[in-house]
Amino acid sequence: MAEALLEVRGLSISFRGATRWLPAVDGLDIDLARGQTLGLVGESGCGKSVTALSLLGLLPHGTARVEGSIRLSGQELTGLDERGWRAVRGRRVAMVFQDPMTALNPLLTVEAQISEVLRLHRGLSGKAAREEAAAWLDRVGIPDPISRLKSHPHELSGGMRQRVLIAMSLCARPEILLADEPTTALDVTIQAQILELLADLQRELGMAMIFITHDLGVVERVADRICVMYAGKVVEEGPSGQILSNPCHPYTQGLLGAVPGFRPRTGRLTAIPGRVPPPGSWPEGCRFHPRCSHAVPACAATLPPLSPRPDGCGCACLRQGELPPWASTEGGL
Amino acid sequence: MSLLAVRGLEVRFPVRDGLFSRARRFVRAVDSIDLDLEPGRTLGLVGESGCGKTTTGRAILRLVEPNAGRVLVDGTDVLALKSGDLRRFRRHMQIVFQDPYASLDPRRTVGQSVAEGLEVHGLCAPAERRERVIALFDRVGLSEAHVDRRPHEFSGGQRQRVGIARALAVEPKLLVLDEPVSALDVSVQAQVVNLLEDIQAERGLGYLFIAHDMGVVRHISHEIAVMYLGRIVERGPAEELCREPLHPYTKLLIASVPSLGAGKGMAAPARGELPSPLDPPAGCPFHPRCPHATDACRAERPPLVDVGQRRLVACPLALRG
Repeated sequence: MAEALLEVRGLSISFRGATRWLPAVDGLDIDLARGQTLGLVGESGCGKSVTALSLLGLLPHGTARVEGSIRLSGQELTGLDERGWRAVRGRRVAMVFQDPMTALNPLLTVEAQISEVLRLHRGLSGKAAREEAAAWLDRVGIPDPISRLKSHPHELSGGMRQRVLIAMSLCARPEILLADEPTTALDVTIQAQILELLADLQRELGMAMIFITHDLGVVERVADRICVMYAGKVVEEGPSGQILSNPCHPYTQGLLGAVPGFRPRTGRLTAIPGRVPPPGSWPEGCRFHPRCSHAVPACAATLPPLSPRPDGCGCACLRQGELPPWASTEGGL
Repeated sequence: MSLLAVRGLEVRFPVRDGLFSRARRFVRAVDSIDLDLEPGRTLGLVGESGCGKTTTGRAILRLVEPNAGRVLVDGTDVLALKSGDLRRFRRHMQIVFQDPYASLDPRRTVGQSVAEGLEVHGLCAPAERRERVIALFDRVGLSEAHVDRRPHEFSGGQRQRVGIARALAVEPKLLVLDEPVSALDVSVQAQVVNLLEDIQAERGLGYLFIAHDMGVVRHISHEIAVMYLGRIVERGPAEELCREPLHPYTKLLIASVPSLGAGKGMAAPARGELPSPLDPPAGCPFHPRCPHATDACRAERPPLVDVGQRRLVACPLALRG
C-alpha cells in the first residue's frame, strides 16, 4: 500500500452526559493513502459524522472528549490547540457537508465566501482572488461564473449550492476531503453529476477522500475501501468490491438486503429490525446482537474484535465462518 | 371500476413579481395529466424535485385546489364535492407525508393524533377508541406503551409508522404516500416499505406512491408514471418500464440510480438541471437536457401517445425506435 497519509489509531470520542461520559466512537482505526477514497458506511447514529468532525478538530472542548491518535503525514493532530488546528482545517483537511443551504452563509455572496478561503489559505486577495474564485466556479461546472460570483446562496438551486460548497472546500487544495453525505439532499440526476465531479477533481488534485454515506449504491461508485460502522465500532472493512460482493458481517448483509437497488422486484426487502442504540445504551457483548438474526448466547457476552477474513478483509463477528455465505442465502445481487 | 381516475388535472399557481404587485403570470405546476389506479395496486409517480408530483398528490385530495380536470375516487367526482361532503369523503382518501417530524402535532400525544380521524368521522364509540388505536399501533409495529407519548420521543422510522397508523385509522381506500421513506435510513426504509406492502395485501388499498428514488419505486409499484415539469412523459407497467425505458428522461433517471453491482465508476450523467417551471422551454420541456433533441423537439411539444402493451410515451423519437 502507498504511504499512509492519514493514520488513525484507537480513536475514541465521548460526550458529556448528565452523569457520565457517553461513548459515540470506540477504538476506531483508519488508514488512508494519497488519492484513495474510503467509504464510511452505517445508519444514522453509528458515529460516522462525529468521526469526521474529530478529524477537523471541530468537536466542542469541554463537552466532547477525543482520545487516541490521529496522524496526518506523520504529524499528530490530537492535542493541537486552536491555532494548530487552523493550520490544518480547511487547508490540509476540508469538508463538504450534507446540507449546502445551512453550510453557506445566506448573507454573503458566493464570491465573498470563496475569497475568504483563498485569502486565509492561499494569501490571495482583490483581483487575483476574484479570478481564482471564478475559475473554480467554472471548474465545478457552474455556467456563467463571473455573474454567479455576485449571487447569494438563495438564488442557487440545491445542486448549484453543493457545487459552490465543493469549490470552497477544494480551492485551498486540501490533501484530504471529508464528504459527509454530500449528495443525500439532491435529486438522483444531480447526485450522479456531483459524484462524477468529485471523482474528476480527486484525480486532478490527487487528494484522498473520506466519503460518509448510508447509501451503499453511492459508496460502491466512489470508494476504493469501505469501513462499515455500527454503534461506534467498525464491524467490517476491506476493498469495496470484496465487501459488497461478499459481505460476512450480518449487519453489512442486512444493509445490503435493505437496498431495493435497481433490479427486478425479488420479493421482500430484508429489513433489519429495531434501530441503532443511542450512545450510553449500547448492549453488552456484540453491539449488533439484539438486531441480529444469527445471534447465539455467546454474542451477548463477548465484544468480537475485528479479525481477518480468509480474503484479508476484516470482520467483527464471533460466528464468522459459521454463517452461510451471502450469495447462496440472498440470491446474489 | 377503477379506484382512482384522474383526467386533465391542472394546477396553476400565481406568481407575484413583487410583494404588492398583482399576479400577472402563472406557473403550471401540474399540466393536464391523466392517471389511473386499481384497488390493491400501487402507482408510482416519479420525478425530480419541482416536477409537480407532490402538487399532483395534494390536488387529488383537494389539499390544493385544482384549476381544471376531473378526479374520480371510487366513482365519486372529488372536484364536485362541496365542503361538508368533501370532509366526509376524506375518510376514503388519506395521505402520508414525507416529513414525519412536521406532520404530527408536537403538543398532542401520538395516540390523540391517530384517534382524531376516528373522532371526526364518528367511526367508533368513544369508549372503543383507545382499543382501536392500540390495534392500529400494533398493526404498524408499535406497542401500547407508545400511545401516550409525544412525537419528539420517537425516531424517524417510528414517527412514519405513526403517520401510517393515522392514515389507516379511517379505513381509506386510497392512500397517497408522498415520499414516505426518503427521509429514513436504508434499513428503516426497508421496514416501512415491507409494512406498506403487507398492509396493502391485507386490506386491498390502492397506493399513489410519490418518490424520486427509482429503486424504491420499482420495488413497490405495479405501474409507474414519470413526471417532468408538470407533465407525464411516460407511463407503463413497472417492470417493463424499468427494463426498457422509452423516454430519454426515464432513461436518464434510471441511469442515475446508483445500483449495486455496477462497480466503481460513473454512469454517464446528464447535463443540466430541471429548468424553472416559471419559464419552461418551448417545445418538449426536456429538450435542453436531451442528447437526441432535434429541431422538431424545440418547436413542438410531443403528446403522450399510446404505443401498445399499456405503455404511453411523450417522445416522437422513442416511437420511431
